[in-house]
Amino acid sequence: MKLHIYIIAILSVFSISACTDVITLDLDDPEPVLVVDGFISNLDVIQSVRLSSLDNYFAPQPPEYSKYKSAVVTLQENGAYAGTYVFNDTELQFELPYQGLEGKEYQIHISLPDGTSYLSASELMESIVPIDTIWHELSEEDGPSADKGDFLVKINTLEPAGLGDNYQWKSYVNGQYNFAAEDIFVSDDRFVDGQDVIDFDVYSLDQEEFEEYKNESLTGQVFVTIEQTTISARYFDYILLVSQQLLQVGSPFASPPAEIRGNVYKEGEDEVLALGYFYTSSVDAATVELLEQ
Amino acid sequence: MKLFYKLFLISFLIGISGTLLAQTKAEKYTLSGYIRDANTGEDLIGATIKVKQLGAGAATNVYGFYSLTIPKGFYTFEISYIGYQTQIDSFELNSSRTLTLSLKTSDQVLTEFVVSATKEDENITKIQMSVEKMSISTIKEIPQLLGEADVIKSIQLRPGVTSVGEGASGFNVRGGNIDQNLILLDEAPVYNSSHLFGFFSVFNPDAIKDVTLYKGGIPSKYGGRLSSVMDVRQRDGNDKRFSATGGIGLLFSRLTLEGPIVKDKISFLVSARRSYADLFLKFSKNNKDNQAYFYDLNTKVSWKVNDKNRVFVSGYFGKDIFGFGEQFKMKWGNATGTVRWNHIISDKHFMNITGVYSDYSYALGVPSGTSAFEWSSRIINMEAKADFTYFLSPKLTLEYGAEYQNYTFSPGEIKPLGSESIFTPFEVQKEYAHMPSLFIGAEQEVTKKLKLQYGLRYTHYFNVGEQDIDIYKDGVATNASEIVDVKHYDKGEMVANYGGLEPRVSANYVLNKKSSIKASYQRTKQYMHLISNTTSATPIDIWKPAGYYVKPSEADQYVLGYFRNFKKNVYELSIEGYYKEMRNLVDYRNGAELLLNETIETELLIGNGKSYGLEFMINKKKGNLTGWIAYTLSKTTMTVPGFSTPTYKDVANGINGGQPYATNWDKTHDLTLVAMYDINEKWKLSGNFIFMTGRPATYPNGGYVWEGKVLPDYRTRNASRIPSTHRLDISATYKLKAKNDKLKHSIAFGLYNLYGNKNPYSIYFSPSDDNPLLTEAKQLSIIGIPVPFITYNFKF
Repeated sequence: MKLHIYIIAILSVFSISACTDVITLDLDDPEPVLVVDGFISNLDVIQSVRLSSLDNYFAPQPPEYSKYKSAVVTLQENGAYAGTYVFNDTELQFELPYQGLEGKEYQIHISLPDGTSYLSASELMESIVPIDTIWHELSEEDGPSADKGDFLVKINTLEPAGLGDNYQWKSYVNGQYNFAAEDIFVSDDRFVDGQDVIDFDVYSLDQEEFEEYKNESLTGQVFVTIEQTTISARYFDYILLVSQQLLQVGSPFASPPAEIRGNVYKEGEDEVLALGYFYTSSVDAATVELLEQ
Repeated sequence: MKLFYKLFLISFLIGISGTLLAQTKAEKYTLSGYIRDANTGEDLIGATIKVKQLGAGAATNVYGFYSLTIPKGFYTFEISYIGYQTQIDSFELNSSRTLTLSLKTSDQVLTEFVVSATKEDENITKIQMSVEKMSISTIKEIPQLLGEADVIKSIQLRPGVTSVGEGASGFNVRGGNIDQNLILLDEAPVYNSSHLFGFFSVFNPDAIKDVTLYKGGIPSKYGGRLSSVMDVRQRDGNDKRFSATGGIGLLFSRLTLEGPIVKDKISFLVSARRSYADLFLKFSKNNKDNQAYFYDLNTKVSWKVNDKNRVFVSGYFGKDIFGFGEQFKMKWGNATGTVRWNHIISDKHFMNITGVYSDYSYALGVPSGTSAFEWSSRIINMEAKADFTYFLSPKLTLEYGAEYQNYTFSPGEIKPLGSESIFTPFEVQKEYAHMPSLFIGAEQEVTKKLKLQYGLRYTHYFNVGEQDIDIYKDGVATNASEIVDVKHYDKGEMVANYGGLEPRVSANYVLNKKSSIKASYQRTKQYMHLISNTTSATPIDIWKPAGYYVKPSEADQYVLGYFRNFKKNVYELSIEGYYKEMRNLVDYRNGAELLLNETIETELLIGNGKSYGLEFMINKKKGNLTGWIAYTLSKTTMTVPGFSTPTYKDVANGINGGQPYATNWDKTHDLTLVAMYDINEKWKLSGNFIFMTGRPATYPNGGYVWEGKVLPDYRTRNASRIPSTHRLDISATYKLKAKNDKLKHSIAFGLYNLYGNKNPYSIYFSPSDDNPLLTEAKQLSIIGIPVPFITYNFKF
């Protein structure tokens, strides 16, 4: 991922005459397609799923989540019924108090009021790899991914021997999830298999953002939480494609627009997919307070 | 197809027997030798010698050698070449003789002589069609970005040649992808012809003698790519006197030194360019530790051993280097080397032996710290070739030979740097290939009106070990999770092999002195693919050879053309229609991850392509105002049906449900106007205007929110188009006064994109900067403003 940032940065050195303009484009309204947005983790929390519908690309967001509130969403563990999600009218999502277990396979089943039903492909909850240490430093020089003086959050961890592990790092600042495409950070273990992964940059925050968080905080403190999650190979491909389709766009080195195929299929018609993805995630979290030096 | 081989055999036998028969009728002698530049001693490629009384003639081959066998007699010979004064001489040919002929360039002759750009009716009488040949002097006059003359950008102003957008790497010929062009520099393949991600080409015009682009009717001696051959020849170096050529521009400067090591015998040429944007970075507080520059170096030594033997050694070395302090470094570049031995076996029989080395590599990474690593990739190509030209008669010339190529592909390797590095060594396994070829071709004047060129090429390709091949369930490379076995091949053991004949045939029927009809057919095969899934190719794309899962591509192209000259050959008109079918082309699955991928075959989709079009060009070649208008109307599509196995249905419907879709480089209309005007001896003006249809684009079918992000839903590939582009560039050249006759210097200045049109490179979709839940369509223009330039050029 960083590679593309570097290349775009290199190109920008010479792109003094390049310009980007927002333009008006008229796109047709699409046929409605079910969108599934949810995951289950190994944390003992309320697990959630959101259902919505495909809309015009330029339509105002957020979507109308209550449209599918009468749907029936159930969780299956190793193919057996594990619980039914209940729609929360305040949070506009289906909820189920449940703790996923490593080594188990999970999927959800969705029955819509119109009689159609969808089933997600089963996802294995992989074993978790803990974060050993977390700390922060200030960047000492300007670079493509961080400027001098930016906060760099770093971790030490151990990557267990044996290829095939896939990771995603999610970051939260004062409890707020950084959901932007720029904050998608995933990796596989091909290049670090069995290694002590030390001094590993997982998040950066510039001084301006830091001040904003600080001012918004009741205590004047800024905490960054890093969730190190183990994810399936299939979800790794999916989230990588999401990142590619959102970030690597427009430039001469952009990836071509591609259909983002998820893992939720219409029952009885395997070739019909819902949009979105339902995944499993083993999580280990660590928090550090950012301190001005 | 069998019919073709029979016709080829019959034509060949008729040609041979006709020649032998003719030789028995009358006493004949051969005039042979080289045609050269009178001032520098450079061999001239494609120069012609014509016998006025017979209407017969010969052209020099790519090494500058000609041979003409005619009956004993007194003749008038006319020797001509692009941009040179035509020389006429008469003498009696009463014995075979070797004669080196010298021509003077336009600036070496008196002003009252008319210097024709080419032999007057060459486009009518010459058999070749679909060939773009541009003189370096023309290339230097065409205004380009920052005033830097550019071989590849100039050739894109010809019909049938386009690119995906401004600043894009490579070029597209008649619906072919950029990897379907064989780009040769002194016969060495160049695997990345771009500097600065595509803004400039690697060819330094000061070091180049000749540029020929074959879009069709490709002679049988060339092979390995589907769509075109761009044959670039370096200059030999002046063997008569020392001279220097150079220029100082806004982005880079260049200097070429050449001269005799031994006068009229051994010459050298050294030509260098370097950009200096990085020097200015040092003045920037934020960028002082950053690097950003490129350079290239062309070298050549030419040795005229004696009348029968010549030896050339040439090389090219170029690099692009970028760095962000100690955080990230990146470099890439080509290195090529060519050794050639030209030997005149007899006055009719010419031999060339060539050894070639070509190496393209890139490396990037973090030089220090715990994240230190180097990622490198490389392709090495070695080649030995023997090709012969046999001038059987003025009516029949044979070219034949053999070629052997050897490839080592290193798709990617990660090396940790230093003891602190968290990385483990990683390498995508190398691949090795051998490719022997045989070729034979003939150019034959069947009658005064009909000329034929026909040839055959046979290549056999071997992909060999050492290699481990993943075996997939159901035998189809579906997904890494479906690998059921691994098959090991020892070093040198054959993994896969492919081969096939590639027939080529062209015909020219001269209707009258002013017009002719030409037609050609060619089959081409390509045994490697550039793996690139971005709008414009990047320096870190890799080449994937045909192998266990990936098959070679194949194309058939048919061309029909009408050629006519007007106003005493001042204007040349050509209209060519082509139809091309391509098979086993590579496209990619959605979101394909192509770099450092050990199971890259699972990311590839195979399909077929089709391209057809009409190319129109009117060229004014004489007078103070010269230039051309070129227009191409074309359509290029691909069809990728996908595949499925009993257990894997993910790509069952291929791309767009297996229906044809426009390729990324499909441009319906492409119009170019190029004009050069000599106001007087001091001032020259030039300008070019381009208009072309916007390239195909994929717009979202809709949008949805997932994990707080608005995702686009793309369904139909390339169903829309970005707006058309148009641009006007102008330049003026002023010849400065010189203190002595030897120095010639000038200043060129102008504007690229004169009226600052914001030509769309792409239209893309992303969240608003102000509100991530609000999405916008954005248009990227690479050169959205007028870009002024000024360049000082000199020669002494």
